[in-house]
Amino acid sequence: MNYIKTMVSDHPNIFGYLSALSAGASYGMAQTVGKVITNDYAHPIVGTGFALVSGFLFVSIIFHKQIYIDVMTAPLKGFIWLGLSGIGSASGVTLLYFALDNAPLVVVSPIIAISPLITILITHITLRKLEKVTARTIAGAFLVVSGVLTITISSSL
Amino acid sequence: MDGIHFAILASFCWGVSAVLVRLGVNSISPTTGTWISLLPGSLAIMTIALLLHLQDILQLPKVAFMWFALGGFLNFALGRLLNTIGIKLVGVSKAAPLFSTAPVFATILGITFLGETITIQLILGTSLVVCGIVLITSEQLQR
Repeated sequence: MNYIKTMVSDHPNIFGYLSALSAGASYGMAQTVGKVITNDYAHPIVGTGFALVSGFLFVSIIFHKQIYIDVMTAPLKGFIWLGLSGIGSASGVTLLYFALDNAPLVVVSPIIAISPLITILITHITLRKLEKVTARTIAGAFLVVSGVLTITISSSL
Repeated sequence: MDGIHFAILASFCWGVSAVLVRLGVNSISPTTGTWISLLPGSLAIMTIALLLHLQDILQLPKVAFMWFALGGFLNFALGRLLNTIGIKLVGVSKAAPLFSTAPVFATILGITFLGETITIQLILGTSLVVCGIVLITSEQLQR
């Protein structure tokens, strides 16, 4: 475990990029599982509700020691930011269902696909002191979003 | 309000959420950060699901709950944790485009396991995504 921590602290960029890409892969696998759930078993909001509770239980069980230490020692400010982040994320999911109820998938999916650009814009406005948004990042994000748009539009037509 | 406005608002909420994660993981470990961020979402979405679809939930077969658990592990335990670690290590602006590549992986898995077809649009889209990833990641790796 300490060896892994040392490796991560020595090469934060490599592990950061690998983590973010692996998150994409994990979300992609989850979308495939989600297709099975919504096609065969339940309404998307039921599937998401149970999946959220399952995810919460998995994290609670696997990381209970670290969670206990942080709950006892970490500053309240961090809990507030992350709690609000959870509310933001849940609101996003709920609004997505409202969007899908009120417009076809072919209209909603391109807007959802551009969300990284909105995230970068919000980061640029609010986190100027914490991180710098470079022209290369914006260009790369445009390429990724264009590719995702091409795939999502073609699959929802 | 129509579907387009809801979709824009959803994207805005996710953007704000990612920025809040960046602020939160300055003082809390990514594992605990993931745990806290899942708590309000679990309560809110499960409540909505129970209110709107209680009868359907009561009739669900046992196997459905295994799929829910698998989806929950991939999306909200593993995916959310890796997302939080990515944001902590490289920042929101570089991590966000990378974890938005999920549809590419979903499409590849759909072709492999669900028998979906390979199209020119898929090849073109994947190529654009790969170019974008190379552009973003090569910046800091060169230093």
